[in-house]
Amino acid sequence: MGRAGFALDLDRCTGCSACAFACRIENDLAAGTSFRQVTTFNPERVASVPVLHLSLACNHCDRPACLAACPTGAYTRNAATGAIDLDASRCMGCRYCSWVCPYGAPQFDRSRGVMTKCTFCAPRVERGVPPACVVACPVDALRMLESAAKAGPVVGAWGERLEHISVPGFPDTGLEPAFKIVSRIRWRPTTQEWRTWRPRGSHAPKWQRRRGEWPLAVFTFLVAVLVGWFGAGAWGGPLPRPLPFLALAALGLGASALHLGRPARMWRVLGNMRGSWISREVALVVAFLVAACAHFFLAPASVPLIRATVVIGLAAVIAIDLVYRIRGQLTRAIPHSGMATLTALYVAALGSEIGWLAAGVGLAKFALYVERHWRDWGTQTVRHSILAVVRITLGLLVPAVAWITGGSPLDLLVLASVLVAEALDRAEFYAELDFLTPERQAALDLAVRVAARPVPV
Amino acid sequence: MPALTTACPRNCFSTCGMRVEVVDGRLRTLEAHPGNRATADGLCLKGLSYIERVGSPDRLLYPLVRDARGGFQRAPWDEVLDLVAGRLEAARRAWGPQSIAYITGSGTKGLLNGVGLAFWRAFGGCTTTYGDLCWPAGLEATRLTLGENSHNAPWDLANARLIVLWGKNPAETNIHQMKFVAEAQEQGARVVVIDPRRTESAEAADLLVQIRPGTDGALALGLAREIIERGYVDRAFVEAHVLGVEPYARMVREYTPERVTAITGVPAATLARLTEDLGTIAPATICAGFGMQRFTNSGQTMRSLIALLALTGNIGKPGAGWVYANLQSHIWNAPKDPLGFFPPEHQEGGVRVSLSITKLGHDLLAQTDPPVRVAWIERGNPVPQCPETPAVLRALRALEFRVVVDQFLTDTAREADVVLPAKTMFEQTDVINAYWHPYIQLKQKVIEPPGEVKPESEVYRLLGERLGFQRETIDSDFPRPGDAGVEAWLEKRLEAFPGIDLARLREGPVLSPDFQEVAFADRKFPTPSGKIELVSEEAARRWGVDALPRWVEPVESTLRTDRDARYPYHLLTPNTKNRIHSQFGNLPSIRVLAPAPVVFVHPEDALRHGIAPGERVRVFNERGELEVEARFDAGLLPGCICITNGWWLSEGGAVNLLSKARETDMAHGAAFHDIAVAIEKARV
Repeated sequence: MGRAGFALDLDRCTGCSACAFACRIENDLAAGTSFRQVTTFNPERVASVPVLHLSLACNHCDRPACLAACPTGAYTRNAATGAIDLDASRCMGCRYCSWVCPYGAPQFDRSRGVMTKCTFCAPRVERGVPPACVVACPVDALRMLESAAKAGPVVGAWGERLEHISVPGFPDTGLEPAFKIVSRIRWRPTTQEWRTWRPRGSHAPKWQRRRGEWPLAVFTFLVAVLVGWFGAGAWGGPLPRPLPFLALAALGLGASALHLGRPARMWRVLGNMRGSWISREVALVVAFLVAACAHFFLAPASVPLIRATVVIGLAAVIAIDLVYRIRGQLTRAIPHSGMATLTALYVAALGSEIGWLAAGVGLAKFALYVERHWRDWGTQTVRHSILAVVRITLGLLVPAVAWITGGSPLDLLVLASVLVAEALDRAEFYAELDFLTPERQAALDLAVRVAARPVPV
Repeated sequence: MPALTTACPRNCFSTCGMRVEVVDGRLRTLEAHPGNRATADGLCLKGLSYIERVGSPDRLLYPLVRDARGGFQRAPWDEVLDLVAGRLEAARRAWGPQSIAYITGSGTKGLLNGVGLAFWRAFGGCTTTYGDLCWPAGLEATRLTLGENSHNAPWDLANARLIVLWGKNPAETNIHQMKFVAEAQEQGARVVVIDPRRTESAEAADLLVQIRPGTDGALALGLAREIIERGYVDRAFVEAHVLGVEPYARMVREYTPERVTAITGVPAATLARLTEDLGTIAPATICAGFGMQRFTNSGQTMRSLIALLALTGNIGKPGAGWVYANLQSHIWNAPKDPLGFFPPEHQEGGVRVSLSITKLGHDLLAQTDPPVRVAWIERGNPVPQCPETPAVLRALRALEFRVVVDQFLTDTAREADVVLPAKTMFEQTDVINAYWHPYIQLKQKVIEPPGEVKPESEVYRLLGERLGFQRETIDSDFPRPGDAGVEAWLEKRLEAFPGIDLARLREGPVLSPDFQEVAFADRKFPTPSGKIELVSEEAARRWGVDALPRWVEPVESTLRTDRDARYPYHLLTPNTKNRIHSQFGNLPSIRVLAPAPVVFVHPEDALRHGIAPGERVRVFNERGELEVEARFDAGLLPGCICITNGWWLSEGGAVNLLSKARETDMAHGAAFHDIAVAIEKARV
């Protein structure tokens, strides 16, 4: 058995999609779905830029992000073929693997509530038959890296032309994909120059357009507020009371369960403490809540317990933020004005009326917020601009004015205003999430190429 | 592991050999048959989509009869056959058998298709069509010039050092040819694409020559002039094998580079480059598409393209030649196409061949003595696919009774009084030929027809019994019911061809006894002169065209001075990888790729009309209009817009609403690519 992986000859591939169709038939998938997707670079055929088709399934990477990130440990490497296997019976449907894989390989199966992906046609390879997509390619453009089956086309036959070149639309985030691309021809511009038309903007849908993650926004925001609240108490402000605190905690956990395809398997989330920030995040959030309960019900007066609870809480919000540090992400998650850590510190500082800390965190949030929006200036809609003004006024100006005029940040109105603004920022954080996909990569690369293209005479 | 041999019978270059696997009576997997060297690597998207087609929820499984309210009602076969036989008998009695039009399309290949005409002969006759929508002008141009339609084996293309894909986009319409193009390229071949569009095939090319539609002939004549002027003519070859070089040389003198550039829009530098390629690189193969021979000037155009290969000695050699149609596998067709679809000089068996398939709508209405009152339509969807859809609809609606046989409720079936459910390729055994590769193949029955589906051959038999046909006629002309009857009928037809029988075909594709790896290798050209004829007296006599292939501007050319200036765009209606004409578009996995008809517009043309991608656009001329969504295609020749062909009327994309029922200059083809239109942003 060789090493599972595919190779694609870009010169031969015409984007016919037979590979994707063969995959659907082999795996008995719903019509129109496939573990293999064909992404077209330059679909509007901008002059002097080649049109390419990238047929991609799982690249069975040497450093698989899915395997590292999956909280349930559902991903393993097949000892025989080297393929990355997904054990659907362990998957709880959190879809985190689809964030971290830039190739769109793990896909959410709505009917079963779990992820699915290319298996490198394990049942076929066991019988000595190459994967269905490789066999189906009518122009022999798609091959295996090595003979994972007893027979079948392997890339070796392409000999010296084998090269792994950087190709538009092929994301490279350092996962060392087992995928080779060959091309000699399609890099040459072939068209007569007719006009100078250039596309404006990209038609590739952003990642968020395809799926929202609002339950996670609720969960992470509430955890940050709870940690902040406890911190405020620890640092001299009012300590949280059990009923509202636990009610909010229940709401947050409930929301996080809501976005799972299989909520009943939520317990599996702790399955990958060694590799997954999701496992660590959930473990720390649970530890924080347990510590808080111990404070409420066992030793309300224990100062060490209160301090320990705050420390665990801060670790939990840091873990939350680290969940979103993903290679190839197109927007910056750290630092971000809507980070859970900053929200927790801000709430804690305001609640404990530690002026210097509140001012420091507030200014940091302000700077990050303005800087982010400054970058996108011009592409923002009016609605976005109004939101920005509201967010800055409610979250930063209101408490500042209250403080300067001698009021207390603990005033209910001020508190509500700050929380609304923080929630808005957290929502923006989610709305901006934009993970790399071949489609997005193709759009980004096209923009670069179009900008670099010499203007025809 | 797929074990059963079959083959795809669609009207497609590739005509793939297949192996299928059936599990519990259902089609489970399909793969390319390794025994067909031309298509051994894999099936196309459409071939794979049979998995959805066979069991499609839209498939017709029972006979349908139009009810009083204009809808369709399911009816039992006996009742339907009685109804149809009764109406046929009534028409025969009242107006004679020729009051019934028998209209077929190219929906499926097979020997059993012949049962249809046998039925009508036994019936006493019918009225039927001549000509062909697809490829006549090119076939006739080839026959007149080379003597017959034959070309090198598909895989021989790998030996070419220059490949010109002239008006052909194999990446979408003959994907298996692209593998041989790639093999040639890997050995250093140069590839040129000549097309108004930057097609998918052009992406693999060294040079794209974007030409104004309908001017390919002028380009070829200009290239011939330059090839002669620069001394690139293969003198020895020409002297021995080509007729009419001197008059040809005199004629092309007027096609100077300046003039050709003005006509074709091809820049002078590109013209020079192309001249050098054709003049200096050998062996050279021109793979010609069908689209460019659907213009009013296209028979002459195709003759002038072949002349380039004759002048440079690129015929009858490995890696060289004219790849248009290869009828080596048409062993049971006598005479072969295009002669086979010309109107016969004498009427036989009461069959009146008087409907031009191109002018179907007009001709149906124009018949007298007797007029046509009834139509039987099978294997085709003429409503969206014949030129001038409105005329076809008008004519069908003027009839008294219409029978349509189909797998789906197509635009044409929707016009019927009776719709009979048709088999798919997997439900009746048949033997098929091809027009690109040289194999005879078995299209094998591997599953039972679903529901109450009956193969046409059985329907004809049952009708023949009801109409009182002679028992001997029924038993000799129609297969007996059941698989054994069909196989016996086929074996009888194959008797004339030793070595080709069902048992052998079950193992895999069989090379035709007429197979030649290199066509015309013996330099024998079955033309009147025995040479390649650049001057054709037969062309002049038969078609009234110039004996030399002079170029004339197409009728709806946007550069004509006598044209209607309100329609400044040329409408291109090419085929895509997603369909074979009007088939396949209704299947879910194809719908994902092409959910709705769109019009491709060059961004600069679009911006001039204030049209943005995704907006609705009205495409219209004096014949009709379509309203579809706009897409940008910066690879189009400005001044051309493109709507791919095959969309149904009911899908809002039938391009023949805009075309004109006009024949090509020779061979009764359809010049329905000769279309000028206007565009505007649709009013919301």
